Amino acid sequence: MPRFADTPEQAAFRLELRNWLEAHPPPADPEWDDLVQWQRTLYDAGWLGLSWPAEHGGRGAGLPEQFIYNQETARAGVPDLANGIGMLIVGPALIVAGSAEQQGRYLPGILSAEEIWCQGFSEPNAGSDLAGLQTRAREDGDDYVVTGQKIWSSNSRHARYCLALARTDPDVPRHKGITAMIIDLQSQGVTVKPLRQITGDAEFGEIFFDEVRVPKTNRVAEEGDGWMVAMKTFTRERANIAIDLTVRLERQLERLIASARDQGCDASTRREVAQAWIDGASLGWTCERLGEQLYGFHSSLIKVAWSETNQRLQTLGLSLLGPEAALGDSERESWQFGYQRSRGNSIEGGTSEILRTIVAERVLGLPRLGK
Amino acid sequence: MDFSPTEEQNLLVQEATQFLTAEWTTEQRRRMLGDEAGAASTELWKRMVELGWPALRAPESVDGLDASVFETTLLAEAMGRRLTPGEFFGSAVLAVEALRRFGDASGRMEAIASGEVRATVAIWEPGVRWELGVQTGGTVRKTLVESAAGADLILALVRIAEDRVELLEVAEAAIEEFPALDATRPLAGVSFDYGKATVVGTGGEAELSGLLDVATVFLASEMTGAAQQSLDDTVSYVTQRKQFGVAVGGFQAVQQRAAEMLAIIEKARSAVQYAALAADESPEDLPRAASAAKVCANQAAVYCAEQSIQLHGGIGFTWEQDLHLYLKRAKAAEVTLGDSAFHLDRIARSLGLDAA
Repeated sequence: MPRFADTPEQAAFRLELRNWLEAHPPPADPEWDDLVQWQRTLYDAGWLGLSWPAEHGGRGAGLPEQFIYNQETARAGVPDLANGIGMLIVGPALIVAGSAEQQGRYLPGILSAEEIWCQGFSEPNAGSDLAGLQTRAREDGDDYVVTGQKIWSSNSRHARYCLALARTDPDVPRHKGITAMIIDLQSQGVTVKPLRQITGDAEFGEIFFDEVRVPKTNRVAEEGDGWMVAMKTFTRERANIAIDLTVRLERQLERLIASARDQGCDASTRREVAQAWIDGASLGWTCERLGEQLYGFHSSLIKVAWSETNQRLQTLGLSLLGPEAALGDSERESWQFGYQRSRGNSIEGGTSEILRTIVAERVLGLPRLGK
Repeated sequence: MDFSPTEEQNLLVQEATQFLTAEWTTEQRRRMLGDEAGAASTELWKRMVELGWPALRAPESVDGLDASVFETTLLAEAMGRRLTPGEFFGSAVLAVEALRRFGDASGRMEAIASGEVRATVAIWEPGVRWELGVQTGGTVRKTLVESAAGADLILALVRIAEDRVELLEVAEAAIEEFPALDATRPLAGVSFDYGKATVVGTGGEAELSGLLDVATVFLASEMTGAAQQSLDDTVSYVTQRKQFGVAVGGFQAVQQRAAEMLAIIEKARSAVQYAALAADESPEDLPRAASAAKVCANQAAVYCAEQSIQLHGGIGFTWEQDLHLYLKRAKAAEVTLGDSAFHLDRIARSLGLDAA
């Protein structure tokens, strides 16, 4: 993927990381324990939490360094981090909204993967309409007592802790009655069930809370600030997620082009591959051009474009197989798997419909219906 | 990897936008639809000359400003927003870029840069799709020439052998004005006797594609500007237009399309600016980047013009609204300097996907 030259500092950073990755190759075909160990290795070498402030174990780096980190790790075939949710969602939330005690207690374990995290935001009846969540947290002495159900929690089967949103006050406007809290999943009354998806994998899970006692010291920010915590976390982290996804897409494109080359294809397929190249490359250019704007609602544009681009790309890859596309292949690197997995892209992390509505209302300033 | 315009560049765009908004009003633009077309576009061109725009891409040796392609495409986006006619494109882009690459044996660049001479370049031939056929002398027929009527100087690119292209200064050209789909951008046929033309420069595929690629990036930027204007007009309309007692912009069916318009525009802008930076800093990336920019701009300009008409409802289909001018510009520009299929094929070849 063509891109512009790094500054001398960026080039030095890139080279240092590239050399380190060559000396420390990531595990091939990793099991869960390998992933945890690998994150630990990255952590010990100081490569994690680049964008986190130095006092929280990070480097305070900007988007260009994040871009380089994602490019180089993708190039080296680095797998998803074991504690990805902790790194992308929970850590940043604690950095912006957690207490000093919480930051000191939890952030190191997030970076080192010593403690695995999941998030408990979505519920069966609160998907796109997250503010409609019904999990209830009632006060009882120094504790909250939590009852309800969470769904689509990535990594929940491995997680020790969950950053959850629960309703502490049902009598105020719904955005205002939500509180963020850290829930120890080993507490009594917690049940975690895997949720099998169309690929047959279980990346997500359901979490059931039945009268679970959560100490009030586990509350993140003030009571009623849960919505604010979620929004701040989302907008900040969507930029890094956008960059990560965009860089990963480049690898998929390389696979697609290689397949098309190997198998030969007709004129219309060649054009579709060329279009996929444009779609993937232009996502990278847009990320670079928008820069800091990605911290705002523009990141929704990237997410929509990425998910639809990946869906077209995977569809095309599958079609290149011709009649043999009908054969089952559950390898993660197969087009069959990629195609199936990609159908979730336009749903997870905000459906394309909701994100387009956000763009229309927040970027273009169109009226909000009923407001 | 710095996409961000400098303050100076932002100022240039801001001034250009103000100037074009003031000088190229709807009323002025509509003069292009009638008998006053030539007068209207000549008046605008004279004002551009006063601002020194013809010198933008000319080298310093002829008192040019030697502006980067990046800066010039920023200006192009402002022009595209207003649907300016083709004098700038013909003289300050095509002629200047051609003379830069092929040579300027007659020393015409200086007068073009000062605006004293307005030039255009005849490139395409009837019945040939974005290629130059080999000419064997005699009468040369060119078509789709931008702003040829009233031009002080007509240059022509003529392929005289497989890898040899000449830049000619044409004498005694017969100009035939054609009705254009996009009346705001007049086109003409130009015929001339090869024997009476003067060779002012020569080059091969590299010079030709370099010229066409930079021109393509410039055009793609204009198209992105036009798409942005279509979106802005649509946003303002659906915000004030009420049906069922509410502004129609609150309906999700409308919002989803408006958001898609923005997405497709941002994509085109990224591709255009990347291609412009490639032209300035890494010319080896330019051919593929220019093709990507054109494909994205084709999609943005056409989609946004079509959707703006749809989202304006019946009023959008009327002659009085300018939306149809944007639609016609988009469809004409879509096939100028290569349609999407042409550029996708070019990208496919660059990815190692050759015809079976």
